[in-house]
Amino acid sequence: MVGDPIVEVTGLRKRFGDVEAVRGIDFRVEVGETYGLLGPNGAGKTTTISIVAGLLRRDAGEVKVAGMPMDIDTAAPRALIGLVPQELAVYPDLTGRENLRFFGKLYGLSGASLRRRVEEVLEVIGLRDRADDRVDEYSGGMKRRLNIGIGLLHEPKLLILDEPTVGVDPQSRNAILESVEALSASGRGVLYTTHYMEEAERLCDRVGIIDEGRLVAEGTRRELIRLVGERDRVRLQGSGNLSGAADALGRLDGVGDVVAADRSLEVVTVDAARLLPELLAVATEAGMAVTQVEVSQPDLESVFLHLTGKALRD
Amino acid sequence: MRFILTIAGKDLRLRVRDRSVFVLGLLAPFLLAVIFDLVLGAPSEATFQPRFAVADLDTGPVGDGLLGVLRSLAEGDVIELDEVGSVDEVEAAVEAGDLDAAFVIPAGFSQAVTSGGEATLRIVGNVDAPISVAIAEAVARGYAAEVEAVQLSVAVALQTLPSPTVSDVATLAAEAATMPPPIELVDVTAADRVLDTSTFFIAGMAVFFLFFTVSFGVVGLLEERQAGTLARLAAAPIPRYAAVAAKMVVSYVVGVVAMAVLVVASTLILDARWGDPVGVAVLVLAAVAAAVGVVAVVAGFARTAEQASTLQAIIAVSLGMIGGVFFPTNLGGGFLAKLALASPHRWFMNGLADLAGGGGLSVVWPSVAGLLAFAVVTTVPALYRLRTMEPR
Repeated sequence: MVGDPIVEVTGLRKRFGDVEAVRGIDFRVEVGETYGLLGPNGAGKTTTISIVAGLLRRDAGEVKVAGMPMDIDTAAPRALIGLVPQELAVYPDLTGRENLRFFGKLYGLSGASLRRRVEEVLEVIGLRDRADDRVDEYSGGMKRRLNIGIGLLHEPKLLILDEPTVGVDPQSRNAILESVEALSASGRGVLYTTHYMEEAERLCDRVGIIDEGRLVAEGTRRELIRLVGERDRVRLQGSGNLSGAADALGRLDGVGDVVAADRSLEVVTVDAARLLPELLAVATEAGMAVTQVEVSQPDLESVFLHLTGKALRD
Repeated sequence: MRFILTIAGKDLRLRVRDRSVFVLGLLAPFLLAVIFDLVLGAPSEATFQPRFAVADLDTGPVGDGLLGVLRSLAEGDVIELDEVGSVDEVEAAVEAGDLDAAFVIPAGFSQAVTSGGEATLRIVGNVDAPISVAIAEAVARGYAAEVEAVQLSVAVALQTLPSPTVSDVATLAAEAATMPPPIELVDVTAADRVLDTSTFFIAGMAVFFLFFTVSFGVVGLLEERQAGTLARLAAAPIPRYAAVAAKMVVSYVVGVVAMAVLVVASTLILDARWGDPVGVAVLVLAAVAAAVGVVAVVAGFARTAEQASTLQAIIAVSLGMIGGVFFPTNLGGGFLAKLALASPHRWFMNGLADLAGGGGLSVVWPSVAGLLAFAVVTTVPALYRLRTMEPR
């Protein structure tokens, strides 16, 4: 049910020798929600999800999956998780079908249910025609799709994807993102790590911005943008009474500055999408003939820059 | 158990497809054993039979004694022996290369010995057969030492007689000559508990390559970690030990199958004689357990599959050398013999040698116990290390 947490992480800490990779992280993922961990390489994303998936022992904190404590020795919550590691975690000397069957058995599938799920997943990832070819004969994109497909076999309540688009061509990347969108729509929780701002913006209901082992901010895209005070900008181009339109627009609630330039007005607002119809109506009423509208919204890249003082790909 | 078998089944399938297990586990040891046998085994096993002759110009009892010694050697196929009538004939044959060496018992030899005078036994040697000549000299010296012992016995006995006669001397000499030596050395171990060359080389190569063959299973754990699939195994709802146990099962199965195939193939093709089948089977099972343990402990402390393979190769070669699997060396009873026991290879070869002596299961227990001790000492820390290995 949407609103119940499928994952709750509190006070998570993990140290590797002298390096504290995770320094007290808290977040939760609701059922049916896609939650993104956005941060540069080395921020602690993979360590965090490795602990969530029960691969690594944590130094401190707590992880619960569907209310069950997760540790490296607990089996029950693992059955609820589908993990898609960053590496191509498949056996190249086996066929695609053999890979799926093997991992399906580890998740307790057998007999007719195993065969049915293997066929369904092959269909979803578009590899039915190549199912009996060895994986080392697959293209990079096909291997990536198989990598994701294995995570889907047992119909997990939570899918964890660790940077699934790293190193793939744009076409395959788009196919992967579409797959993840479809999975989100199917109602399962998705925990998605990436250092690509566009992916987080496109896929995630909420985003946790992680840097140097700390969650520096969390929320929906809009909440994050508001958090750092970034505003939308609407550029109206046209002719007529531009100064009158500027005055009228400046009096509207939710509008900050209005800057007049040659044959255009730039309106700074908190929510361009919501105010745009009103902006156009007021400008027209004031005597401006609007011929072109340009909306620019601050993105998570600028939020990350604002919060950490560095770019995502630093 | 179901998950262990599932993972082990997958691994075995991968190994069969990989084919390198066949090369290292079967082809390499078999071919190397054949090559070693051809290069080193054939000459050492070829019949070496010195060609001797004897010219007995004495016909007395002491000369007859030497003749008896030579005849018994000939009857045992240790030497070829011609008995000729003249020195000229002997010398001509040696000169022509028809003989390696000849004994000339001169006329009056027995008389000289029994009277305590100077007696000379001649050896005519072929310069092109130094080993055979040395053997002839050794036989002659041995006989001379025996005669000297008789002389000494007679001299000691005469001291006890108040007025010995010539007849007393002859009687005492005859009695002394027929007395058995006070100490007789009987070698029952060296002759009976030594593997024939073919068996030695195939057994040596089999156990040597076993340490490479079994690594296919355990090192797979490190390969899976590098490939990322170990993370997937660790994320599955299966017991934490399942992956490690499966790898060790694969190592064990591959090792046993490889050894079994080598034993059968070498018996059929190379005419190797491994000994009592039950004893061999138990010995093989124990040897594979030891090999898996050694390989696993190396894998447990290595960071990568490459590092593990390199370390395992170094250790396998070192243990093989120490254990004497490459050459049929006589380790004697010194430091080398003690050092050899630090190698499971030695325990395996010792067990086979015990079986070659004609024993069955009862004679291999000490070697089996040694191998199992290796298995336990290495497997316990290996399991701890591998079980706690983080998947990424």
